Amino acid sequence: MASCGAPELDEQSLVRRLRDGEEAAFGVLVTRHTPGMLRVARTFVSTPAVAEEVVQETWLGVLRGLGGFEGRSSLRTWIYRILTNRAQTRGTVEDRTVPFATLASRDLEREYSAVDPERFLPADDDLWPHHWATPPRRWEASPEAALSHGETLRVVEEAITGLPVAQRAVITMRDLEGLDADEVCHVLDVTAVNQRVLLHRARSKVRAVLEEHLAP
Amino acid sequence: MSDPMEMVCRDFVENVGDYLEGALGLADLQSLETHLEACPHCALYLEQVLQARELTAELRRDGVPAELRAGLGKLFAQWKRDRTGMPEAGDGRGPFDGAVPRAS
Repeated sequence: MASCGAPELDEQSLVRRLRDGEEAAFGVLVTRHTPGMLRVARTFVSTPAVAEEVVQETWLGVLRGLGGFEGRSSLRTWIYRILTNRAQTRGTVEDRTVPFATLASRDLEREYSAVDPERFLPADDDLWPHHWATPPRRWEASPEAALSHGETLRVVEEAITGLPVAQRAVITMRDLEGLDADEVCHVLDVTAVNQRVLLHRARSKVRAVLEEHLAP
Repeated sequence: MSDPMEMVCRDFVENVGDYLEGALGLADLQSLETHLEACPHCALYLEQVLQARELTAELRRDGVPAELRAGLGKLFAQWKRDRTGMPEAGDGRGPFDGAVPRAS
């Protein structure tokens, strides 16, 4: 029943088939988007179970809203917008989060440096003010370290889980789910500049944690 | 503008984000790239940020928990019933019954 020919799997035809009530089309979309939706939902709510509920509510919202979907944004952007709205509502009900805009601005107001300032020479250094005093430590990602690769990934995952919510949401959408910058801005209602700053902070943190782990 | 150390390392690490996003203005881009060529520490730093990004991408997992998939199948059937007012003539062999379909 479900054809695997590429043309039938593009977004427009999937939406059309879904409107016709074709269950196979729903199955394809569920397979394609649900794993990412679960991860993004999880950044806003406290348990995997609640994240699953949010994803269910989102799919129901997608089905019900399908008639009004005009394709001005991509289907994925539209789905993720519904998702983050639901997730944030749930997060608020759980008393865990506040609106994303507030989270983001709180985060952005915070004092921040990508690298511990102590690792740079002071401003009054005679030769190299603000250059590295303690340069990045080289780490080896050798193949024989494959055994510990899983451990490294666990460390990365922990680092991301420990990020402030706004940074975590942005890095999850960009670097795990592969949304582009415009999509993330649209989904989260953040400006292009703020999206970049949040992503920069998140990636810097992951690098720092990796350095700590791989080259202590 | 041509002084390779015009951009200091401390600024370099803060500009890496905009650099990777293609968001630096021309002047900043030039001084960052000039610095990058001259400073092995910052070159290593950039390489590590890129590695961090690749490792992050590896956390991506496909697959939908079976219970959730089953729940979504029910949700779809319910939606269809509500929409048409007609019970669905399922044969029990839809994508949500039993085997998990995979999109390739």
